[in-house]
Amino acid sequence: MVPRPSGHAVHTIGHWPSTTGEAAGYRDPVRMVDPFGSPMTRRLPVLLVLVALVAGGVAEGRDRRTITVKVPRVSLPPGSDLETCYFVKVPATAPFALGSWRVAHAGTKSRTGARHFLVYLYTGERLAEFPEKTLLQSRGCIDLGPVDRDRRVLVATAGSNQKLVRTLPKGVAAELAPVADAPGGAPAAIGLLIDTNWGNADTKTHVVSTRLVLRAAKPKQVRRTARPLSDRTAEAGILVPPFSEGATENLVDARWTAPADTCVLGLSSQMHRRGRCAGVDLLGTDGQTKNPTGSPENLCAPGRRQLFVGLDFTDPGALGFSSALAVGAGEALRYGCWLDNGARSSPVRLGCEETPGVVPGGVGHPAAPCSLAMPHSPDCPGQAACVPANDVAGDSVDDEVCGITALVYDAAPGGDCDVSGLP
Amino acid sequence: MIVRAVLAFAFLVAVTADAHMVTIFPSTCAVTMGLSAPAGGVVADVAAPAAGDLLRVMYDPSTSPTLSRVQVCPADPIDPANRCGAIRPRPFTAGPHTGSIAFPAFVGIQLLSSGELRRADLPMAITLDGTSDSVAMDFTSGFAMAGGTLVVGAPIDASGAFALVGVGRSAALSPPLADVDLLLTLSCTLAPVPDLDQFALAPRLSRVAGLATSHARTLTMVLEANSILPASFDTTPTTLRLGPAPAMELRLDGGLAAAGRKGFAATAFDGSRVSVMPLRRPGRLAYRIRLRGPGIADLTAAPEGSLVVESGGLIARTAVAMRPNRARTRVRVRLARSRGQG
Repeated sequence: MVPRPSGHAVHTIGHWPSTTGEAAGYRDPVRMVDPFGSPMTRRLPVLLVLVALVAGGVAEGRDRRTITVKVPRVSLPPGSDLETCYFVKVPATAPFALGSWRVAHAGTKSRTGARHFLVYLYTGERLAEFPEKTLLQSRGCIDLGPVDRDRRVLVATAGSNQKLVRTLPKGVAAELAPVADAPGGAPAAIGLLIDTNWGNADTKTHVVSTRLVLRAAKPKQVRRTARPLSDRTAEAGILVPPFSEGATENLVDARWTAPADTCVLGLSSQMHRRGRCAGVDLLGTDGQTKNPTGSPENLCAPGRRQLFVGLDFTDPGALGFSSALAVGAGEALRYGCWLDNGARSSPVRLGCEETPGVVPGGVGHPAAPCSLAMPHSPDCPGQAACVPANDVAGDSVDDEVCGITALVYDAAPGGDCDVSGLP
Repeated sequence: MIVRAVLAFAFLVAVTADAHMVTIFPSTCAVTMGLSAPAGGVVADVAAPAAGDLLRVMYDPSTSPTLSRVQVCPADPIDPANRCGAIRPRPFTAGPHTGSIAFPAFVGIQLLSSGELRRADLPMAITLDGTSDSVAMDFTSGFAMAGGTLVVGAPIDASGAFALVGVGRSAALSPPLADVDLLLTLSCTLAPVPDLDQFALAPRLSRVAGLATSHARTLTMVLEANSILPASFDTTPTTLRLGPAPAMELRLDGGLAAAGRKGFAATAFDGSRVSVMPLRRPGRLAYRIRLRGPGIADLTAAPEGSLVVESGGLIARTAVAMRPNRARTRVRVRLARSRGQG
């Protein structure tokens, strides 16, 4: 049965007036439909006309001002811990220049609220294969959508605050680019995946929802455009035999090297279910680590302190979006992942045996998945054996991912990340 | 540059998230097995688990029901908490017959936050008097029907105990286990007890209200479904059990037929009618289940009881309070205040 949340989702797009800003009387259409705002009953007919005009493409050609997403209501029984995934497609042919965002959770209480709220920009090319406007449940939102679902970059976050406004550094806009519905197609829409982890420690059921407003940076104030960065070269180093642990850095030196003085926003990591830790080092041009004093310890490599450590595939965390990390030309972000294939707490990967006696699965060709170890598995081609397999990178939810994502922009002359004073 | 990096890092430390997924370390348990063929009146005497004969359970929590599961393997006798070991067949006798049962090597079993477990087509290696077969059995902590007998398992409770009931049939085994429904029960107490909060949200019962007299019985309840658990009322059995006293049991093996625009209903052989109607609730799927049927002769009432309902593939259970009137001519059923959920 297709889930059908009763709370309806509203997605509205505001637009810059062609010649004016807020000072010239610009009225944000999103604010007019705010159900938590002041009564607008008398203006409802006008509003409906406006929405219809916008939806009909009358305003096409003007720059977008806001993107509003209302995540449907979800009921949280006592003691529940849910993670919901909501994918929206915002029709667009040109990028949206994100300047700030506002997150408002409704229905939260002192013991009920969001543990994390993450907004990912989908950067793949199979947009049409995502289930749109459907609230799904998944840890880490790793099992919905097309095979390239992991091509996503964290672009906005919010914690447990009931309301939160976060702004990118002054003069910086993040580019949210539209992507194609299918490979080779023209950009059709901006794909946003919203991942919310809800917890209810109360003894009563609570109904919660979220409203996200992405605001464009004012065009005249934008000095630099931050673009999504994604690096997954470490995946070539994922090869963990059954009932063992492994680290990608033993096989691959994965790093992203800054081609010029660069500023990094929202550095984050990507893993799947068998990923225990992801760690990132900042390397100087001499190849030596230059992680700041007080860097967090990587629990998977005791005693080792790194620039960034992600400990949870569902909520990897991120460096600041409001304050950039300067990475000079030739400096690098070196990263790796630590994985558990049935040695500690993760279930072992099972796969179809291809050659008798040889553990299936290798770099670049994960084993065909199966769910029950047996000599002749109906899950396997040719009724082959289903056996414990190597844990490697792959597209399946049962395979792994190891990467870093961020938003990056060119530093000001001299390597400074404060670009507000640039002409 | 260093100053900038330090300043940036000061912010960075503040926003690095703590892990929200709490690691659930593997458990072990010694399984008590029970094998019977209810239709033939056969009850096997299965050996108790030998020393070191344990199952190792690894947890794989997800909020998606299809991914919310445990992986079970025979534990290594030397390091049961950390390693899987070889399959150890368990011997049994059934009258003059001897045989063995073996649990497979690695098994994925669905687990919900209520502790309910389910696994279809689990191949159990059974031998009897020189014959052997891999018998595909459907295991559940809910209801199962074996040879006309309704049995029910138990979800993982606060002590870590659970019971799975599995039903299968084999033509390859020798009599008296050939071509009859075989019922296999697996009882176990997990240590350490797992934290179930992170698993997929399970259905739950609310608004339970009922009245039983010698002339009629009614029982209504709301089954609140997890929003993405599929419910197929027309293809899966509907089963309801209230007990211990007054006891009420109903099984509709053929599922329910469409009734009205959105509802489902069916009538049992004793005249009891069950109807299911979807409800509009904010942010959730819910169904009102209504039972109307003939009266109950024995209106003895225990103060507390339990209600287990499985319909549309959704299972939920709750504690109920049963209150008789002074004349003992009617019993009211209400949700117990403690709201115990399986």
